[in-house]
Amino acid sequence: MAAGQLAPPSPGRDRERQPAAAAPAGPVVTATTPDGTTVALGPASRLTLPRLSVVPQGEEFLLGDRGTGVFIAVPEVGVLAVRALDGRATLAEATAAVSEQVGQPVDVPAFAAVLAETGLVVAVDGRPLTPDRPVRRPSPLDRIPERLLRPFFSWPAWVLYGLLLAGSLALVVTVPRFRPTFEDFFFYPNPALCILGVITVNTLLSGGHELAHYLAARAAGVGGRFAISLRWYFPVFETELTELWAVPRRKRYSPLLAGMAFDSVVLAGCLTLRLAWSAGLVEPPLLLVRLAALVALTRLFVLTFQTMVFLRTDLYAVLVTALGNYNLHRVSRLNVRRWTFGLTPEEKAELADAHPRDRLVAPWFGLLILAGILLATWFFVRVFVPSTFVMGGWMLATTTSAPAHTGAFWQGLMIGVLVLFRGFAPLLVMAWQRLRQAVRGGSTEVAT
Amino acid sequence: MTRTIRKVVVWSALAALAVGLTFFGWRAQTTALASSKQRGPGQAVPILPSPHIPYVGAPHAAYNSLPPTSGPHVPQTIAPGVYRQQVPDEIQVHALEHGHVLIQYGPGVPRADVRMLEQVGRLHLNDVVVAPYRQLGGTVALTAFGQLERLDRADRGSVEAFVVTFAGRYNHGWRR
Repeated sequence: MAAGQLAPPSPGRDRERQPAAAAPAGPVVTATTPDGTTVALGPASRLTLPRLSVVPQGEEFLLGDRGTGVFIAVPEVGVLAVRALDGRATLAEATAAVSEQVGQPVDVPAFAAVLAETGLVVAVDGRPLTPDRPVRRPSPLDRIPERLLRPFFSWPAWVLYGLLLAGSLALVVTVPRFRPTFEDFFFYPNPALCILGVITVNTLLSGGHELAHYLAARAAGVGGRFAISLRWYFPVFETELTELWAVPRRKRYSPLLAGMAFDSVVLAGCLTLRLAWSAGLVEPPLLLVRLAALVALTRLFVLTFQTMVFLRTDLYAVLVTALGNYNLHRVSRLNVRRWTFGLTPEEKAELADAHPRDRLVAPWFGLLILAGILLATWFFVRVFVPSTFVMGGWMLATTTSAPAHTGAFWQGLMIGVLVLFRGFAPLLVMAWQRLRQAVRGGSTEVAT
Repeated sequence: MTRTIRKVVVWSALAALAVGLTFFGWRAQTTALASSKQRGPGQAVPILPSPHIPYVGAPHAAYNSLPPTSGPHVPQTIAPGVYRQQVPDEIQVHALEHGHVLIQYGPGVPRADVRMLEQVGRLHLNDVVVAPYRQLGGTVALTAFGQLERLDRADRGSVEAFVVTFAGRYNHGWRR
């Protein structure tokens, strides 16, 4: 299972991002950087900013550092302020210049403090703020020239992917014998081989799905980062595509949908093979025909999973991009908490400071999250827990009754390992995420 | 309402939902097992108690037909399709329990007949398992849950009729 992730611009405190009309710069303002350093900004301070991308989004602009993946939404005057803070001008000089441009006093130091707090200031008066900025490391995949990748994500290619998906869905809906069933997991009369096969197929295809996100992002001129994450209790591979905020909105769809395009192509290939074999047109090895059914089943599952936008799937990222939201999931969750458990004072403040567009959409998206909670509860109770008990019982019965020198005993052990992995994988992923956050020393990239 | 009380109320509602889902799921399953009917081509075979056994080859009560049509079976099943290796009896029964039809042939069945049987398997992709079965000699056996038809020679009409009649008739309970 996988998801291409478009992490939102820095959440909250929207009001503070805007250089507000205010008294001319004079007093010292303080800011706390993401790694906890407190910095004082006075009228004579000179800020060094990283190379920032500026992308219009509706009436606002997205400012960001592609190196660290930190992005914030600002009004137009914020862009003017950033251009004025060129490393040579002091805050007082920048304030004067921007105020003159807009025709009213602008509080640039307060805006500079927000930049420092979100990690968008490299140095103040030549002193680095964060000596070890966690910049994305280049991947060997970055060496693939963009021009080689672009045809795979051009509009004719997208038409083809759409047709393949539509054709596949039409086939499985209208011809029941091509509809994958859960029995396709048992493609060979040996459970150990089936388990190994399912794990191998899922791992390889999840890798392919994520690779498609990455390559599409490269074709759009930005990079990504592979990671492991959790969607409630589902561990998933993901590609963080935060750099997409640095490109215009219309260019973000291709990287976000590329994983599903990969799944659609694989699904169509498998169904075509089964169709051709059923019609007697091809004679592949029979094991391959059954493996094609297994792969089709997993791809259909993954594509269905993507429609569950409340789990922050690829389609969630597409939805957020289309609606012009920034942090819809978090704001919606806060809404749901407000309806159910109630909010802490900090959460109330966070919700009040959320972007107006997120607050507008959050109520109905919150209903989707509630429906998702019910669905996940049903799945946990009706599928996850019973299947864990069945497999656990199977493992116990086999390992306690089969002699240790038989294949059955080792099959039982393998099933036991799988049960333990299923049960503990969410905890392992959670521990891994905490460890990664601790090693990074604070959040410079907004995680979803 | 304080946050603590709200938390208790919400978690209680979720727990009640979980218990309800479990109960109705269990009831639906036991209801499905309450009736049975057997008619159509071949002969009905008395249905044996069909408990799970841990692995293929584990000791269990003897089957009452060859190939088996019910009885002890392992937890795993097998995907419908065409196989060129024999499917263990303990797995076969689980496939029958899911409503599938097994078409099995002995080593003495002519190659052309085997191709015809496999062709039936290709056309009924999600319903049929086609596989060799050593003990059948030169005959063909068609099995469904609680049903068996032995054919001295592979006859497509008989095979198709058996598949159409019995595929999906039973799936952990009688469906039709």
